[in-house]
Amino acid sequence: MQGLESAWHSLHTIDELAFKKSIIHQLPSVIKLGVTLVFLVSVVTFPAEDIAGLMMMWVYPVLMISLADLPWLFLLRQMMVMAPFALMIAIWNPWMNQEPGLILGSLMVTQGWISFASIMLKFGLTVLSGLILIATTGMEGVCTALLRLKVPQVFVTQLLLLHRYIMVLMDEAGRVVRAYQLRAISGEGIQYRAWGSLLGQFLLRTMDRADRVYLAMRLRGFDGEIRLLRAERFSSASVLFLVGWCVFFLLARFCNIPYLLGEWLTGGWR
Amino acid sequence: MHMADALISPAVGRTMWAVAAGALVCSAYKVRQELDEKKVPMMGVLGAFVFAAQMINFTIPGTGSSGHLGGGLILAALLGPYAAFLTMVSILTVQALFFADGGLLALGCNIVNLGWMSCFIAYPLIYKPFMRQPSQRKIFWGAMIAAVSALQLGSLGVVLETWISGVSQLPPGLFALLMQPIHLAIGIVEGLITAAVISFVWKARPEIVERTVSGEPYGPISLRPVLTGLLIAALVIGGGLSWFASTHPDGLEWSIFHASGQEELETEGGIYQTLARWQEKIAFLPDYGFRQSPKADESVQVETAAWPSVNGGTTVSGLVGGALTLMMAVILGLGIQWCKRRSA
Repeated sequence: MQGLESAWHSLHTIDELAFKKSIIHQLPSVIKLGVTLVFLVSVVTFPAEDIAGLMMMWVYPVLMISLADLPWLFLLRQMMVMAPFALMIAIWNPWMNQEPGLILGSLMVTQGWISFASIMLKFGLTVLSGLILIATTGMEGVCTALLRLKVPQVFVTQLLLLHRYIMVLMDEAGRVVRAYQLRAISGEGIQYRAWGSLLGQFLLRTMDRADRVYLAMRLRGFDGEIRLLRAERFSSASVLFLVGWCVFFLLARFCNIPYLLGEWLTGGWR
Repeated sequence: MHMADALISPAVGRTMWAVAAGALVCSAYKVRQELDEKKVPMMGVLGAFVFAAQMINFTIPGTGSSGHLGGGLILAALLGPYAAFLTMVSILTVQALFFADGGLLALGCNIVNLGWMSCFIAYPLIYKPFMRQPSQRKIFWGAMIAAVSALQLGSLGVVLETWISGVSQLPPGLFALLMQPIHLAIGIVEGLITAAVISFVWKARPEIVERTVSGEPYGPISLRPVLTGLLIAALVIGGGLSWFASTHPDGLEWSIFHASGQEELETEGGIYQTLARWQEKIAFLPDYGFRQSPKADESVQVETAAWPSVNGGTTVSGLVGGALTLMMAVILGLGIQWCKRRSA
């Protein structure tokens, strides 16, 4: 998890990105969710040795980021923050499998290194596609899609409320920690003796806030359900978007196009 | 401890999704049934609290490092297991969507490892019995043991799911040996933070802690979500395995070759053949990835079929083609942006 400030910044940036008006942003949320899921499954099912084939899948994030006008550097930074976790598990593969996998002149690459590269590539693709989904759809869009998919209303309401209050409570946590640090003698972290009282006070204040929130919601007619505006229309373009990507993913998954391309190009050399 | 999409197989992802979805629907039903409208904003705001509190660094005495709050157990102690589970799922969903902390396919795994274990195992089986007649000491040990066991179970879940997925080639024993002690240390710190917070709340407002334990908000805990989860897992594992095999044609061919290579099976056909094929698939599973040293002749054939690229020429084709594809994708993206800028 990132620190309070950088997490606050990430959330804020993604929320703002979701308000853009590109052609991708205007597609129905359930279509985007569907395409993302098909993409994820296709990427994860790629065999470890088929790195060339996996390259074809990069067309999706690249196209989506360009069409939706998303900031490249921000998305890559978000991806890099989480990379160490995948790296920690993938890095063992080269040690565990030293069978030859690929021979390039005098250079021999082991199967372990190939599967390592495959894991890292898949990590990049899956993380980017998730970020693209939320940055083009927004939390309300995702919740609308979940409701359409018959996810229980209680859970969707919970997701919406959580999203609305995260920023508020992160601000508050930031203030609590800053107040502590200004009074503390040493270090950034909270000392053992203050663990219970600091977090406990914060928790009690949060619960009081929840009571006030509830009263305010009651006054505005809350009956246990938050209603979302579901004005999404399934145009023929959106169906084409869904079908087009699905066909592309299947093609990329089952015909190794980059390999065929490479064979065609290096045919003379061979 | 959040698992990434790149490290799991679709079969494992799908199975865990089904388990998580089953428990989610069950909990949603239970919360809905005994709905206290007041709990709706409480769940949302407490979820946001845990989210924010997870980012606060707590200095561990005697060391330079810091620990963090996990949250599952505090939520269960304050909201009851069902509402806490829904809240944990929502937290994990936001973490996956906004922070790429755990992938979308792996969300089911993360829900089971981090939410289900603490709400439906550690809370009712460990924390709750300690809290029958709460005292300072009982709260401390109840929270501590429950937090440590929830985290141990969760990290064991990570080891098992990673091993069954077969993407990482780390042997499960070694992986467990790495994971469990680290998560014991993390669990102890988490347990201390949880115990400190619950003790503080109990001293300041005892009714909050006691009301939940006495089962007032949502009634006594039933085993339904646990059993539903296990049942769905059992049902889906079968389907999951068959899908797993079909996504790796070499595995399917290998198992079919074995299954149909035996004459009796061919004549018996039907269900026996299917069962035998299943058995082969299950037997193949732990060895998925790249099988190490081939033992029999057939395995050698499969080995070479699965790795067609130990050949200079084909390797070059793959590399050139792959690099070119990536380059074309980037050029395509840059082209679209250039066109947009011109038209703007």
